[in-house]
Amino acid sequence: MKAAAVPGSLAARPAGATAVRANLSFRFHAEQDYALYHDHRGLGRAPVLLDWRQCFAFFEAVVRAARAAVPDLEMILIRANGPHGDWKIPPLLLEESVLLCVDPAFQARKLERSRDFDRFLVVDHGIKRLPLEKGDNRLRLELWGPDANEAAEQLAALRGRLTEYEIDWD
Amino acid sequence: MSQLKIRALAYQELAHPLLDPRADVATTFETIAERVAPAMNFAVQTVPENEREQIAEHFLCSTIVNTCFTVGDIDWATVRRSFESRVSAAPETFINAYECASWGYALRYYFKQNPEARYVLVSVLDANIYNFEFWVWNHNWEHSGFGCTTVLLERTGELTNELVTGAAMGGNPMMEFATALRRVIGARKHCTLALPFFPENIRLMFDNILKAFERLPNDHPRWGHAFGNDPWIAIMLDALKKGDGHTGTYLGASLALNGYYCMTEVDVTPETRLLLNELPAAERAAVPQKKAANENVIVLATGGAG
Repeated sequence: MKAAAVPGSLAARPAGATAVRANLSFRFHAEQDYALYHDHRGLGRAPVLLDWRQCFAFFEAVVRAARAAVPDLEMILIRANGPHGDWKIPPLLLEESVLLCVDPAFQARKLERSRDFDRFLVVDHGIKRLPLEKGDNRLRLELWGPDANEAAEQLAALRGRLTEYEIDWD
Repeated sequence: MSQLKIRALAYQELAHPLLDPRADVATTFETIAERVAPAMNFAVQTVPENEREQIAEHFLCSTIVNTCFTVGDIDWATVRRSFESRVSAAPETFINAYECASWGYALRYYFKQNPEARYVLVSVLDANIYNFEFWVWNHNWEHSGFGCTTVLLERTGELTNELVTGAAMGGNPMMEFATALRRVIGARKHCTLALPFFPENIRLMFDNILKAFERLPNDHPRWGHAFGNDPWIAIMLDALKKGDGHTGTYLGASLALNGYYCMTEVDVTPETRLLLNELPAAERAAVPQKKAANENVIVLATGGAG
C-alpha cells in the first residue's frame, strides 16, 4: 500500500464563532481535583481555535469531503480522546466506516500490514479544544491506497473541499 | 446460540486510591500494568501456543482513563510499552471516545476489518488515575467500581446480529437504551440480559421495561458502576454461580453517559475459563455520603468570539 500525506495547521477560528462554555465532562469537587488544573494551567501556548462542538463539526466536514473526493474509501481513523465535554459525538462520526481512537497513526501501520482495507484515511491532529488540553493545532491527513499518485490527487481534492476552514498547509 | 464464544473472561479489581494522587502518571500506569497483566495473560494462555498468533488484536477500552492523554502527562505509546513488557498479546489499540460503549464499537470495527478473524481480545480498564472525586461518586450512578476486564472472544461462524451499536440522542438516554434493549432482546428470548450496574431507582425503570425477559442481578452495592466492565462482571458472576459445566447465552450491554450504547450476544460454554480477582473490602473505594446537588463547578471559558 502507498500513502500520501498533507500536514498543516489550523490558523484561525471559524468565521462567525461565538463564545462558548468549555464544558469539562465532569465536575471538580475536591482540593486534589483543582490541583490538576493548577498543575497544568497555561498548558502550552497554542490558542483554542475550536471548541469540542466546532471540532466535531470540523471532523464531519473532513468525513464528507473525504467521501466526496475518494471513491471506495473504506475506513476513516480519527484521533479522539475523551472527555468531550457535554458534547455528544454526532451520528456521522458514529458510523461503521469511522473509528475514533487515541493513536490513529499506530492503527494505520497495523492496517497497512494487514491489508484488510484497500483505501483508508487517517486524521491525526493536535487540536486544542480546552485551555486544559495539550495541543498545537497541527493537522495531518494521510490517505492510503494502491497508488501514491492517485492518493495525492485525491488528497488535494479533499483539501479543496475544506475551504471554509482556515488551514495553513505546509 | 451465538457465533461469539467467551473463551476466557477475567476481572482484576483495582484499589482506590490506586497510588498517591500526585504520583507520577507513568509510575501509575506501570503499577496498573503490573496488576492487570496476570489476568490478561490468563486469557491469552487459554489458547494453545501454536494458535496464539491468531489473536491479531487486543483492544484496551475505557471510560475514565482519558485526562492523562488530554493534558499530555503521558502518551499511548508509553502506556503500551508498560503492557508489552508484561503481557503476551499486549493491547495495541486504545479506544475511549465512546465511553462505556467503547468495547462494542471496538468489536464492530474489528469484525468489519477482519470478518474471518477467529480470536479477539478486549480489555476494559477503568482506573481513577488522578483520583478525581467525580469518578468515585456522582449523581448519575452514585459510587463507581474500578478494575479491568479481559475477555477473549472466539468467532465460531459467520456473524449476523451478534453486535449492536447505537446512540440514544434524545433527552432521556436511559429510557431510549432500555427501549432499544427491549427491541433487540424481543427477537432473541433465549438470551439473558447482562446490564450495567446502576442504583436501584434506575434499575427499577429497566426492570419495568424489561420485565418479560431474564435479567442478571444488579449488584451495584458490591461492585458500584464499573463502567464498561459491568455486563462482563455480571456474566462472570452468573457463570461462577453455575459452577462446572456452566453454559449460557447472554446479551451483554453497556450505555455511555452521552448515550452511545452497545450490545453483544455471547455464549458461555463449559470450556470458558474464568478468573475473578477481588480485593479485600479495605482496599476498595470508600463509598462517600450522598452529596448535595450544588457542588462546586469549574467552568473554563475558551473564548471563541469570531
